[in-house]
Amino acid sequence: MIESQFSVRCLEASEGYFITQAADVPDSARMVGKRVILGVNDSPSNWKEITALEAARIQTLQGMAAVTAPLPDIAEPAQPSDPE
Amino acid sequence: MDAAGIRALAESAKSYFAAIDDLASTNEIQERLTEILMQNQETFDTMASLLQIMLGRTSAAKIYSLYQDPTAYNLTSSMGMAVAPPVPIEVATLSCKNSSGIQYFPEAYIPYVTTLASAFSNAAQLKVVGNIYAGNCKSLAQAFYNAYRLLIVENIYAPECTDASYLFAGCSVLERIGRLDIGTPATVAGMFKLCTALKTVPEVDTSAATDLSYMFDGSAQIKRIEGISFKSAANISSIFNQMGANVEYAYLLDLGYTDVMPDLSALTKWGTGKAENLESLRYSLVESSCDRAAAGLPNLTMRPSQTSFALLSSEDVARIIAKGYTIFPK
Repeated sequence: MIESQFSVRCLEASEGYFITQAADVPDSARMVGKRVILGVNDSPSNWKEITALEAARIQTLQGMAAVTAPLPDIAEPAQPSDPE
Repeated sequence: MDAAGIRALAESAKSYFAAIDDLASTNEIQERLTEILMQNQETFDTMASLLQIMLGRTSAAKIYSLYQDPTAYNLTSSMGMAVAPPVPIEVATLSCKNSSGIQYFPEAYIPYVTTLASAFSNAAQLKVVGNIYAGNCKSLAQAFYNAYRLLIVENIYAPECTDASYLFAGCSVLERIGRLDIGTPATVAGMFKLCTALKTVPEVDTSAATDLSYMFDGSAQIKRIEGISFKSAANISSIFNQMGANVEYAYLLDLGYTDVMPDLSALTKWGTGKAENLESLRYSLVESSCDRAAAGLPNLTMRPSQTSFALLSSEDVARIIAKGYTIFPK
C-alpha cells in the first residue's frame, strides 16, 4: 500500500476581483469565478485576477454566444459503402 | 401478447369491421383501425394480424403497390395511410422520409437494411415507432430528424451503427425513447438537439464517439441522462448548451481520458434530490474519471455548478484533485 499526502491549495479572488486563467485564451473559452481548487499538478501561476467589470464583460459575451441555433440544414448523409 | 390473444383481438376486430361494412373508403377504415390499435397497449404485436383483416375489406391496391418490390419499402408519399403496413423482412431499403400521413410505424425486423439515414426525417405526422431490429444498419444519421410530432420510439437495435448524428434532432414533442442498442457510434453530434419535451435520455454507448457536439443542445427538459461516455471525446462544443437546468441525475462517464472537459456548470441541479442523483454525480466525477496524474497527463479543469460542488464531501474533492483536476465551481 502506497500512502501519499498532498495539501489542498485554494485560490480565492480578492474583493471586487475574479479569477481566470493566466494564459491567453479567447473570451469564449475563458473561465471566470471566485474560487479555484488546484489539482495536484496545477500551479497558482496558471491563474490571475481580473476586475469585476472585465469578468462581467466576458460573462455577457459568453451568454450571448450560448443561443441555441435552429436545426441546421444538413446534407444528405452518405450511404455506407457495401462491405462486399 | 400470445397467439391466442392475437386471435381473440383479430376476431373482435373482424366483428368491428363487419359492423362498419358500409364504410367504403380506405381512409375511414384506417382511422377505425387506428382507434383499435390505440386502445391496445400491445399495439405492434397485433398490427400485422389486424392489417391482414383490413386488407380483406378494402381495396388493397395501394398497399399492394408497396409490396411490388419486397426489397424496397418506400412510404415517402405515404398513400394516405395513418398506419404503416408491416415491413417485409426482405427489405433492403426503407424510407418514410417526408411522409405526410403515417402516424404509426410498426415493429420491423430489417436485417438487410444497411442504412436508416434520414429514413423518417421530416415525417410530419409520425407519432409512434415500434421496435426496430436492424442488425446490419451502419447509419442512423438524422433518422428521425425534424419528426416534430413524434411522441414515442420503442427500442432500436442497430449494433453496427457508426453514425448516430442528429438522430432525434428536432423531435420537439418526443417523450419516450426505449433502449438504444446502437453499438459504439463514432459520432453522436446533435443526437438529441432540440428534443424540447424529452425528460429521460436512455443509455448510449458513446465510448468510441469523438464528436459529441450539440448532443443535448436546447433540450431543456432533460432530467435524467442514464449514461454517456467521454472516453474518446474530441469535439464537445455546445454539448450542454441551453439545457441542464433540470438535470438531476446524469452518469457522465470517463471524463478526462481526452483533453476536453465539458462545462458541467450548466447542470445546475446535478446531484440534488434523491440519493441516486448524488451517486451519479459522485461516480461521474470521483470514480469514473481518468486518473490523469497517474497517467502523466496534464492538469484539466472541471467546472461543476456551485450547487453540485457543495454536495461533494471533502474526501471527494481530495480524490478529484489528486487525480489531476482543478475544480473551478461556477
